[in-house]
Amino acid sequence: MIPFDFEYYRPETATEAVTLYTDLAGRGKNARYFGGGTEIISFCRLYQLYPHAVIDIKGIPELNTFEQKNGKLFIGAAKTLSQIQESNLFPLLNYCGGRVADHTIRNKITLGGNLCAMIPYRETSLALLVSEAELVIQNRKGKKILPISEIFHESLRLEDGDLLMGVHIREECLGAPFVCLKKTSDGNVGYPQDRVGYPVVSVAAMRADNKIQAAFSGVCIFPFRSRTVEEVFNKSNLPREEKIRQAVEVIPAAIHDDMISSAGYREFVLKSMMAEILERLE
Amino acid sequence: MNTVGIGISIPKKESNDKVTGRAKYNTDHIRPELLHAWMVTSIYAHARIKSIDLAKAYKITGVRAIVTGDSCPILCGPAIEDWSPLARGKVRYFGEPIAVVVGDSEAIAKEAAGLVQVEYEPLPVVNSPAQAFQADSPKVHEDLAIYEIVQAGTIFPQPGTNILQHVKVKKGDLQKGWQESEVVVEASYSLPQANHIAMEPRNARAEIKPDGQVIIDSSTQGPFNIQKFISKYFKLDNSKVTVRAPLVGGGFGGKTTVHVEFIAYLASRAVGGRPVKLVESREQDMTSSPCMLGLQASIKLGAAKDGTLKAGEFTLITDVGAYCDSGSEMARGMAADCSGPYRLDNLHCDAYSVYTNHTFVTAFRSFSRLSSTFALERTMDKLAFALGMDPLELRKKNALRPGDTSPTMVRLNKNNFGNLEACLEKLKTLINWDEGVRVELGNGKVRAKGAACLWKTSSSSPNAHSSAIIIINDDGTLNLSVGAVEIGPGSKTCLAQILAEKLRMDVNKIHVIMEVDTSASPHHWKTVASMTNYMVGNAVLEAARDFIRQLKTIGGIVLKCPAEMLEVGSGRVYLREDPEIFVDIKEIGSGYQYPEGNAIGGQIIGRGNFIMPHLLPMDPSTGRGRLGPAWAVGAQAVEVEFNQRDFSYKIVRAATVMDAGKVLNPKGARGVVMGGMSMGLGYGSREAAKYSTGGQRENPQLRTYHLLRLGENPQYLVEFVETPDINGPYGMRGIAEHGIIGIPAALANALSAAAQADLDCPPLTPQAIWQACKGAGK
Ligand SMILES: Cc1cc2nc3c(=O)[nH]c(=O)nc-3n(C[C@H](O)[C@H](O)[C@H](O)COP(=O)(O)OP(=O)(O)OC[C@H]3O[C@@H](n4cnc5c(N)ncnc54)[C@H](O)[C@@H]3O)c2cc1C
Repeated sequence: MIPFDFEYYRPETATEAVTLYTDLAGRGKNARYFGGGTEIISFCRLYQLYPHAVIDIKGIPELNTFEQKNGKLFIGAAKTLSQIQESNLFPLLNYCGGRVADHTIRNKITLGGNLCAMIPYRETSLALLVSEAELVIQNRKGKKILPISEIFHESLRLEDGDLLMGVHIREECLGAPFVCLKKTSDGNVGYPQDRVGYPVVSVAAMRADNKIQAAFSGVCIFPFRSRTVEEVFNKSNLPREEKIRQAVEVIPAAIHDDMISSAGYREFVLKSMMAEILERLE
Repeated sequence: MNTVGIGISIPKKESNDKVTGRAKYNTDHIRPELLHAWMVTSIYAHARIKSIDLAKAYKITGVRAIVTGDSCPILCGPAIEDWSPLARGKVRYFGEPIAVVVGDSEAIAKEAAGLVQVEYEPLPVVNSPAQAFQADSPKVHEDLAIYEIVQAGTIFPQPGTNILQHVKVKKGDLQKGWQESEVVVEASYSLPQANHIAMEPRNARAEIKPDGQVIIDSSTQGPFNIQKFISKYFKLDNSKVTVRAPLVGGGFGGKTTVHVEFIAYLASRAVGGRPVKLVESREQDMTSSPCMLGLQASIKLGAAKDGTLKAGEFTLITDVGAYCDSGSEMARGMAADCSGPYRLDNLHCDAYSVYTNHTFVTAFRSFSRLSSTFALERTMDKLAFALGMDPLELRKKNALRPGDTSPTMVRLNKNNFGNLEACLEKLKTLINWDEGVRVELGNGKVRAKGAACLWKTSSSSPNAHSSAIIIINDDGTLNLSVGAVEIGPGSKTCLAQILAEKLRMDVNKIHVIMEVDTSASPHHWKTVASMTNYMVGNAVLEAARDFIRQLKTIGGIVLKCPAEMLEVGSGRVYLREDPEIFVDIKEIGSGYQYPEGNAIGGQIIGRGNFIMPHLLPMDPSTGRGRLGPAWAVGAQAVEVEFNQRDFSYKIVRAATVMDAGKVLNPKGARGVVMGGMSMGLGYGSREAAKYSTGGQRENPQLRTYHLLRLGENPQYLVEFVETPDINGPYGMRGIAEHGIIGIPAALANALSAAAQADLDCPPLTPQAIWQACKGAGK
């Protein structure tokens, strides 16, 4: 039960959506793009969010497509995590997205919603970070395409009114060898998913250009891909133990300590996952 | 398929309605004049309420009334009156109801509730049972000395402290016991509070009719209890209060307490008696309404070298949160059963209930035994290890037998106790115990098994009673009316089976009235304590005897013979010597008409009742007494596959062998036991109410409070032993709660064996095991 009234719009084009956003802002109304709505609804229910209006973007055809063209796969931001899994176009993304929440909720959660989420895990970002995806963003001024590394720092740094249209992934990344691991407070999550929960640690690693690329969620308060960690991973002639020791030292922030996991246990899990990545991808 | 009587797997009578979504629960009823309520709850665990400002909230259109504690200066509680339905003066736990808003819609009430401005002055928090015990600890209740004690002789508060209850059980000669002990083990345990998580959150509707009749519709396990307490505290004649309980979407003990019903009543009273509906959100259900108790326990056991138990000392401190409710009773139950089902002739037990600034507690499946059993059964495993003895062997060696006495000196016989050894024997085969407690599988993986025994008697009030009414319909089918609520385990179906067995008739011809209505249904104490089939079943048998007697009387007139020559079965009254000479019960059930046209008799109505005899309160200094009529005993085991590298594990199998006395509905009974096991695995492996340093609840949501999910369930093995209890209907024993009792302990024993570390504080998450192994230097 959402205890307050808000306006609901369902535009049919991206231009309409971004214009609407600006118009609403002009009238002093704080609007939110509405993907799966699971976060918006559950936050509003608990008074954690009070939008004056929501702009449902699921009716925009462009945001609802998969397209393979010019050596790239395009996934629309309104595609649900279940649809992405069923399409089976990018196995690493299946793993990252296919262990978020549970099946019923993945029928709702959208790729855009997960990437732009306030809940900090944003696990689909891991697959996109390691595959150096490009993000298509539209606002009132037009459309832009940016490499994820330029705009995803801890979270997706969208400007007010920016609409995420979708992502491009280079075809050579789609079938690259990968390791994708997730552990919740209850234990390991298999694939297909057999356990539900926020990550203690979630990692996606891929071998591309003979190098290991890895991104992490759960470890710190935000998801990240770290070049320094990768440098350590890709050093030749360094024993694995030593690589892990060094890599843990250069992660970009303190290891998170919360109700889900102590920092000590997170570190333990992180190290064992790093060991598995190295073992399988080196 | 045989559909007559007991021992057969009849689908539950309400199943078709449930699986098609037609079943109606309390919140499914809507009426145009219905108003809606939303609670304002505390964001502090302990704080003085400086002011409550309602001005902004009243500005919302559609708000009809806002009630605060000041408008109902009453204190209530089933054991001691320490609780006000809406907080007054101060709040004592996070989530405590402070006010209730009544509005035209739930959205209006909720919006306005968000605008009620409460100014608090935070107070130091009592955040654990250990802290509650410290002399200089803040006091949760300053007025403990002046609270009214309702159940004198059963509760012993210590004013000036946070100690609400102290129960002592003393048996034998402890000194002598220690002298005879060659091996002694001692350990401490800490178990968190947890939530019931019934699928249907707690809710109630209240209405006061123009003639003053109060009607409460509630999702409850105790409609008669609500009637009793609403009438008591609002000074109404008992018959002025009607309580109705439809199907209940899960209770697990959480719906035994009277809580939201008080608030719904106050809400309705504030709007001139219009019907008001109050439904808790999941978060409120997890923080505002009572939860499961926490426990801090120390146990010391001594045994001779051959494993014979000689002495035991138990200190059990229960965290009952901010108010007593049934917390003091649970400490008694725990103490009375403290030895587990083992012969322990010399023992001391001190069981306490202490107030903390946590959510208050109420019954939770097993009425506290799952917690004390965890501590005891872990200690038994430690003792087995110290003795170099097989854990199951140790249990068998010490298993109680007829002729022994319980900690409170109840003499055991095969009726009131059953056969634990037979359960252990069967369990051994079922879980293939002899292949070894711990088996290395290579690859860093280990398979391990752990076991635990269980026993539990009920803590019923000595005057708890039940009744039943049987009415015949024109078509010869019967209506069975009882006061027990259907909370899921299929009791109503079992009761119909008991009746069908007695009348030797098709159970499909017996209609059980699902809803309970205190103005029409016969009485039943509460649907708790695994006592429904036992108590109500006995009342049904009594009613059936009455019904048969009446059938035979009129049957004798029709068949022209003395009633003693007749039998009842298959819907007929017939001549014992020649069943072909008979009259259909439908011919005589509503009066018999002679071929000439004149008639005799009338509708046949059978009635029966049952009251539990021989219950005796516990002696305050020794604990001597008798809380319940009989125990149900059993043995359980869990098998895990443990990964030594990352401390994760998979629960592979879980087994239970229970002495059910007589299994009334085999599939139903397995389902109930399995449900208990599943809950036990959830509690043992992941469930815990987490509080911040300020006592605020950190995980009041299913996002972060995890239950065992479908797909994580192990293979369940459930078997029964049948040692009849002569006092139970057809020999049955109450087993509805018991599946949960030994499971967390068995899981911990398995994991402790696997990890070779003492795992004494559930929930046993991989992190907890990692921590324990690290502590043990592994
Ligand atoms: C039960 C449950 C379990 C969860 N478990 C996990 C988990 O294990 N791992 C994990 O990573 N996450 C998890 N989540 C979080 C979930 O992925 C996020 O809450 C996500 O935001 C939900 O996506 P949605 O499409 O429903 O978002 P919405 O509620 O529609 O939107 C969320 C936010 O994203 C913005 N947004 C949505 N689409 C766009 C767009 N195209 N462009 C710009 N902004 C947009 C919205 O304005 C809003 O601020 C869980 C959520 C639930 C409910």
